[in-house]
Amino acid sequence: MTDLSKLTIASARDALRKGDVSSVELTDAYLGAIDGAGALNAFVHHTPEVAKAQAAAADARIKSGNAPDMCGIPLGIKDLFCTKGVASQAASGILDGFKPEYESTVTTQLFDAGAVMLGKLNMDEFAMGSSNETSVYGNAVNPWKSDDRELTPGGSSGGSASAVAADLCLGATGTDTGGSIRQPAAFTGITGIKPTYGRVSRWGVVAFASSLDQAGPMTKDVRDSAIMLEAMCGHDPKDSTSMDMAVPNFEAALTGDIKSKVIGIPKEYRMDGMPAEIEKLWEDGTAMLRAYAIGQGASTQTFLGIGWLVISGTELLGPMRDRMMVLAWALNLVVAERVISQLRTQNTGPDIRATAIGTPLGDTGSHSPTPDRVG
Amino acid sequence: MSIDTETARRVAKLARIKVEDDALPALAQEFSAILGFIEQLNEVDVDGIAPMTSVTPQRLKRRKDVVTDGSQQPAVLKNAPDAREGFFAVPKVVE
Repeated sequence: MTDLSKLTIASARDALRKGDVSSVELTDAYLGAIDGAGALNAFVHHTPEVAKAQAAAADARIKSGNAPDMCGIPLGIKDLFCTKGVASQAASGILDGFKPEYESTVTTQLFDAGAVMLGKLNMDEFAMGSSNETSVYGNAVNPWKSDDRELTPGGSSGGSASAVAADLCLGATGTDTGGSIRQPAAFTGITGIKPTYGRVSRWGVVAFASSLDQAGPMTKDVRDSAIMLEAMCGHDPKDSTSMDMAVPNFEAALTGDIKSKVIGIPKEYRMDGMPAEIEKLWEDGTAMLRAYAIGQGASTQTFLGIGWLVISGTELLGPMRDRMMVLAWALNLVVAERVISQLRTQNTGPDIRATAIGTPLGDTGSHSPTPDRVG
Repeated sequence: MSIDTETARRVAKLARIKVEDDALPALAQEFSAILGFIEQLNEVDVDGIAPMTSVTPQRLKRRKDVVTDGSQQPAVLKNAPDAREGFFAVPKVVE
């Protein structure tokens, strides 16, 4: 029998359809792997009952011969996604015990396609961080190491990256506001993609900066990302910024031919002071693109970092702040302010507090989370 | 632009985050550094470039202003630490 932990989404899909393996067997194998990998602290809420029920249903659907690509595929779900009846606390103590009464659009689509949820994954608190060290659950750990030291899997989708890299699931959902899929994917040697804004519905995903947040797949290779992304994409009336455009077959687009593409590489993506080994990988990658695409990897100064900081900082706590202000205004009481101040001081980590204090960057009146296109 | 301790105090109050007095000068300094960083944006030449808020060629969707959901009282109250007679129950704050 094949080593189930080494399958990809594509090979598992094919094996499931051929009847070489069942989703129940796959799911049991991954649940066992998760139990043996507690040291990585990747899975923070375990849902074996949900997984087994979904796997059994998926097997029945596969037998009927009409199953989508993701049917029977065991996944990990980032704690930022609201999952009905299952703890969803964005790795924050302030949401301790919260079990949503609704399902995010992304997880709804994945589950409707037959995917199996193994559990919820570690992350930086409210997705703010790049090392998964600000989580109420403690640090997530990178399965890769060069000596005895524990290394960060990156963040904020650190648990997702660690789980996929350690073969604890076939794929995981991530979210990316300013690198939270791409950076941990790079840190753990897996594949992740931040889709174009609007491709994936944000409904039911705890917001960081509404006009930058996008959910995306984190998988073992590009083909798997294409398959999983297709299942996550699509127009959603519940997210007014989601694009009303047909979802292409991304997997069919993987022809290996990028000759007609122009590829730009922002200067900020290459940092000074990188170790020679990484610098060489970067240059090799650039050279590969130069060899195969028509564009000359044009480098431009884009002020990406600063623009990002301004947008994310102003949008970040706008909604929270407004709600608090309305509450404070309605009660018009110093007492209420004291309660809120203590709650927010005690139940959030230091990074969230530091960022929250940046709130008045957006202190220009009304808050518009989803600006219309101008012109 | 530099931020003084008094402004930092006001900002912390607006954010409803408790900051002790002795932590205010460091906070003010941090704010000033952030604003200095942002000021680099002034170097960008945006002459003749139309404002853009989205990379996708789509206007925000409009919808009919009608009720599409409702009567979810039990679900809404499900996560309340305390709910009574169909309402959220909160600690008494007014004597």
